[in-house]
Amino acid sequence: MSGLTSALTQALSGLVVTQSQTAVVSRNITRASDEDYTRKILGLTTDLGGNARAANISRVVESRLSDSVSKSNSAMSGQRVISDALQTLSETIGDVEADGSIAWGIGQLQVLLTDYEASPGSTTAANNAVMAAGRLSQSLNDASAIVTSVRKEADTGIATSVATANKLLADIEDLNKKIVGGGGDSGTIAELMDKRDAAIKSLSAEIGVRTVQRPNNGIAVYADSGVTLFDVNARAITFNPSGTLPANGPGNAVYVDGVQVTGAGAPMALKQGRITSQVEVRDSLATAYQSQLDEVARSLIAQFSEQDQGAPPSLPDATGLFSYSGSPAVPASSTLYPGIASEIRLNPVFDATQGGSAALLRDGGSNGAAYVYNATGVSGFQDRLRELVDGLDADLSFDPSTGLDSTQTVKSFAASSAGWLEQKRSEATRHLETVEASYQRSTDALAKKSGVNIDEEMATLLNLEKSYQASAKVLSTVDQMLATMMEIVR
Amino acid sequence: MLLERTTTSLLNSTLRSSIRQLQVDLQRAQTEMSTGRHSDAGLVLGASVGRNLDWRSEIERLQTSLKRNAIQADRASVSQAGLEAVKGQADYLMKTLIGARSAQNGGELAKTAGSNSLKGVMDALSTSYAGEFVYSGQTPDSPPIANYEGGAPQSAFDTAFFDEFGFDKTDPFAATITPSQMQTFLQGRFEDLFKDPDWQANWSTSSSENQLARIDAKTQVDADANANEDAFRQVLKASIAAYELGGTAIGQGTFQVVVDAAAAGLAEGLKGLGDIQSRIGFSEQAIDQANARMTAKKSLLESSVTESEGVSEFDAATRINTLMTQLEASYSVTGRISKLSLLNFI
Repeated sequence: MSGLTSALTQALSGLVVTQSQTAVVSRNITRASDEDYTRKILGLTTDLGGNARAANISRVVESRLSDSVSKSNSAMSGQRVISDALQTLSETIGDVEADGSIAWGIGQLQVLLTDYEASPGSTTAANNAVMAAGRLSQSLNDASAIVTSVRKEADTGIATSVATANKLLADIEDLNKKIVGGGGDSGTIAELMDKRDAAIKSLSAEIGVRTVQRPNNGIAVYADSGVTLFDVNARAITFNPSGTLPANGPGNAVYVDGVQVTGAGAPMALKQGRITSQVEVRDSLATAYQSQLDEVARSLIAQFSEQDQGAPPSLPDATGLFSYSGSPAVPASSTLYPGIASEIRLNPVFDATQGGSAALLRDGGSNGAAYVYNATGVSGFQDRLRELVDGLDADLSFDPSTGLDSTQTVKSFAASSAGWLEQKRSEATRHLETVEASYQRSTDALAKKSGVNIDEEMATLLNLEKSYQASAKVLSTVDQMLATMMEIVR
Repeated sequence: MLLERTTTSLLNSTLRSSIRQLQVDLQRAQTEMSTGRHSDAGLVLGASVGRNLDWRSEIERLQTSLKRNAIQADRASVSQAGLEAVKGQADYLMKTLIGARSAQNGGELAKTAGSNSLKGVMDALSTSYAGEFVYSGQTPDSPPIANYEGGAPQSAFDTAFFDEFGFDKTDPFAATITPSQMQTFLQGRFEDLFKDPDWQANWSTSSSENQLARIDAKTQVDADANANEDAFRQVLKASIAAYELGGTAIGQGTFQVVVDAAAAGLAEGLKGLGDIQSRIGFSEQAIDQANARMTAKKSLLESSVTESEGVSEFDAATRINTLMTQLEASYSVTGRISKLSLLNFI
C-alpha cells in the first residue's frame, strides 16, 4: 500500500512541479522580445519524503556582462552628445563648395575691395564692397548665435540628465528595498531585479556606473570616478542651470552629495556618460570654437581701423568699417576679446542704405578729419584701398589660446578654424561608430546569456508536456491499481 | 562561458541592423554618383577642409583677377590708341612745318596745320573708357584738359604775348619782331606757360598721379598716361606756336625761328610719346604674363579640389551594384530565417 500511495504522491508532486515549470516557460516565451527581461529557470529540490518540489525561480545572468553593457552604453550615449553638437556647430561652415562660410566671406570681401581699388570712382563698386563687409559681420554674428545655442542646449541637457538620474536613483532605492526586504515569492523578486537592472542600464547613459553586490541580493551603485550614487539610500545629484553663460568661461558644475563631479577642480570628475559630455560641449568644445570666431572678428575690426594721418600722429587708432561695443577704441592686439564675434557690426556711416557713404572706405575719415587718407580728395585715390587689400594677405598674430597657429593671415585662420571643427567632427563620427559597435557586441553577449530563445523554450515545453502526460498516466494507472485492490478486498 | 547559444531576437535583429547599414550606404552611394562628390565632404576631409577652403577662395580670386585684367588690358590698348593718334598729329605737324619753313605762305600753312594738330591732340586727350577719362590720372571723373580756343589757355597766351612785346598778336606791328626777340619769348614767357604752376592753373585739370592696375595678388603696374606728361605738353606747345605765331604778321626770319623751335619740341615730344608707349607696352606684357600664370594656377587648384572632394562615378556605380546585391541577399535570408520556428513543426 505504501508503495502505491508513495507513487501517487510522487506523481502528484511531479504534476505540480511540471505546472510550475510550464508557468516559467510560458512567462519566458511571452517576454521573449523584452530587452530587459532575463531568462528564468525554476530550481528543483526534493523534500524529506523524496518528492520533487519547486524551489526558487532564478535569473540567468552574469554580472560581468551587464557591467560591460553599462560601460559601453555610457561611452556611446556620451559620444552621441558630442557628435550631435559638432554636427550642429558645423552648420556654421556648411559644405566646402558652398558660399556662406566665414572663410568664403573674407575672400569675397577681398575680391570686392580689389574691384573697388580698380575703379575707385565707382559708387557701385564701393557699395558692393561695403555690402560684402555687412554680410561677413552678419555671418560672424550668426555663427556666434549657433555656438551660444549649442551651449545653452548642453546646459539644459545637463539639467535634464540630472533630473533623470535622480529619478532613476529613487527607483533603484525603491526596488532595492523591496528586493532586500524579501517579502514576496522568488518570481516577484526576480522580476524586481530585472527592473532594477534596467534602471541601472538607463542610469549608465547619463553617468558611467559601477555596481557592487550587497547581501540579500542588494546592490550599491558608484559613479565611474568612485563617488557613491546609491548605497541603501540614493544620493542627491544637484545642478543649478547656468542662465546666461559667460562668453569664454565655464557654466555651473554638477554635484553629487555636495561633491563637485564636473569641471576644473572637481576632485572626483565623472568620466563617461551624457552629463560629462554635455559639460565638455558647453565648457570646452563650443568655447574653443567661439574663441576662434572671436579672434577672426577682432582681427577684422583691427585691420579696418583708421590711423591718424597727421605728421606726427597724435590720436589713437579708431575702428572704421567694422565696429563693436567698445568702438571707437581698437581691441588690444593678439588678445582674445570674448564675445566680440557676436558684437561685430558694419559701421552704419559706410552703409549707403542707412544714409552713409561707402566712399569712406576709399577716403578714410569716418572718425573725423584727422583720419582722412585722401588728402587731395581725388576720385581715383587708391592708396587706402591698396592698404586694405594687402592687409588681408598680411600675417597677423592671434591669441594662442584658440588652439590654432598664432601667426597667419586672417583668411587662413578662418579656414583653419573650419578645418579644426571638421576634423573634430570627423573624429567624433568615427569614434561614435566604434563605440556603437562595441555597445552592440556587449548587448549581444548579454543577450546570448540571458535572452530567450523561443525554440529552446518550445522544446522544453514539449518535454514538459510529455512529462505531465507521463505523471498523469502514472496517476491513472495507480488509481486503477488501487481500484483493483479495492475490488479484491470487497 | 557555457555552450554557445543565441536568442530569437538576436537572430532577427542582427540582420535588421545590417540591412539598415546597407540602406544608409546605398543612399550615400546614390548621392555620390549623381553629384560626383562625397556626400559629406567635411567628414571625409576633416582638417583638410581648411586647405580646400583656401584653394576655393584662391580660385575665386584668380578668376576675378583674370576678368579684371581683361578690362585693364582693354583700357591700356585704348590709351595706346590715343597716344598713337597724338603721335600722328605731331608727325603731320612736323612735316608741314618743315615744308612751310621756306614757303611763301609759310605762316598760313603753319597756322592751319597748328590748328588741326591742336584739335587732334585735344580730342585724343579726351578719350574715355567705361565712363572714365583715360588721361586724367587720379581724377578720372573730370576731363584732363581745358578747351584752348576762347578759354583760359588762350587768354594766358595773349597776356604773355602782350607782356613780352607790348602789343596784341593781331597787330601788324608784329612784323618788327626780330628773330632774337622771338627766341627770347619762346624760351621765356611762352615756355613758362607749359610749366608748373601755369600749366595747372590755365590748362590741365588732370592729376599727375596715375591709377595703378593690380594684375595679380601682389603686383601692380602703371598702364596709364596722364595729360601732364611732358610729351603732351611739347606737342601742344609746338601746335600753339604754329597756330598762334604762324598767324601773326612776323617776318620770314622770325617765322623760321618759330618753326625751328616747334620742330625741336615736336622731336622731343615724339620721343617722349614713344617712351610712354613702351612703358604701357611693358605693362600690357606683364598683364599677359600674369594671365598665363594665373590661368595655369587656377587649373591646378581646380583639379586638386576635384580630386580631394570628388568621387569617381564609376566607383560609386560599382558600389551601388554591390550594395544592392548584398541588400537583396539580406532580404531573402531575413525572410527565410523568420520562417524558421519550431512552432511550424509542432
